[in-house]
Amino acid sequence: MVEDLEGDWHQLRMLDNRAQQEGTVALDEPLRGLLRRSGPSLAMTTAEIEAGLRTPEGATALLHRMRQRITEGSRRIGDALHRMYRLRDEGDLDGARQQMRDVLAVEVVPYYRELAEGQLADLD
Amino acid sequence: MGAMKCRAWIALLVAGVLTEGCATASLASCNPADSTLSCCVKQHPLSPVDSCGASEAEALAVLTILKTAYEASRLAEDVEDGLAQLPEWKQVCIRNYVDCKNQGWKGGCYDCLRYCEGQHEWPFRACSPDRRK
Repeated sequence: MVEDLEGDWHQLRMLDNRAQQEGTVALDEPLRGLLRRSGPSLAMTTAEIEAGLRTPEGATALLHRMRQRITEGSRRIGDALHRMYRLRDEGDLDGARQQMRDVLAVEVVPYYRELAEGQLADLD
Repeated sequence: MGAMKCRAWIALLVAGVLTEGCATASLASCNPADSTLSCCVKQHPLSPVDSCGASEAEALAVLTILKTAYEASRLAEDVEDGLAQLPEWKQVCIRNYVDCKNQGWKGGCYDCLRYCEGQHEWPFRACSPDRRK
């Protein structure tokens, strides 16, 4: 199932959706665990995470920032891949590679970076 | 015939209404090439087993053909024009689905499309390009 493969990221999406609707999120142990656990996958520092876990408002804001990294990264890599395929098919390999380099110039999430690096390597 | 059945059919096949309308109502109507079964499933897409006496496997086979035909119409040259009527997030889900299928991404593309429809973002951990090398 997609939810299982997405793992903690799916949990973050669901909680952020709820937090956006209700205005806040319950700062309980499961949430602390989720934010601490998934922080590294979203290039959040320990300091950032712990600061956010001091208050419910901080946790809500941290949760939202983490979700935004997932969402923006998804949009960024998807757009870049689509353009890359088009350029590659047109024979513009340099242009195709540049799409992935442009992602790597700004993306901080390791998983998305690995995708871009892999596609860049495959273009060689 | 027409709008209501077309809408129901599209709602089923495109998993929760990825399109706002029924631009190609002809996809939902029977033609001489249809078998009795496929014609029946087109007419009763929400109850193919009950209404048509089809097995689940037969129903799935017919619905898959219909879904592919619908998707192929979206992959036509003017697909960008067709997609422009949809909200941007839906366009992105469909575009990623097309890339997933055409570029052979790992993961269940259609499941990821359904997830994208719900979350308004493509789940790249579940469906993403694989390494060639």
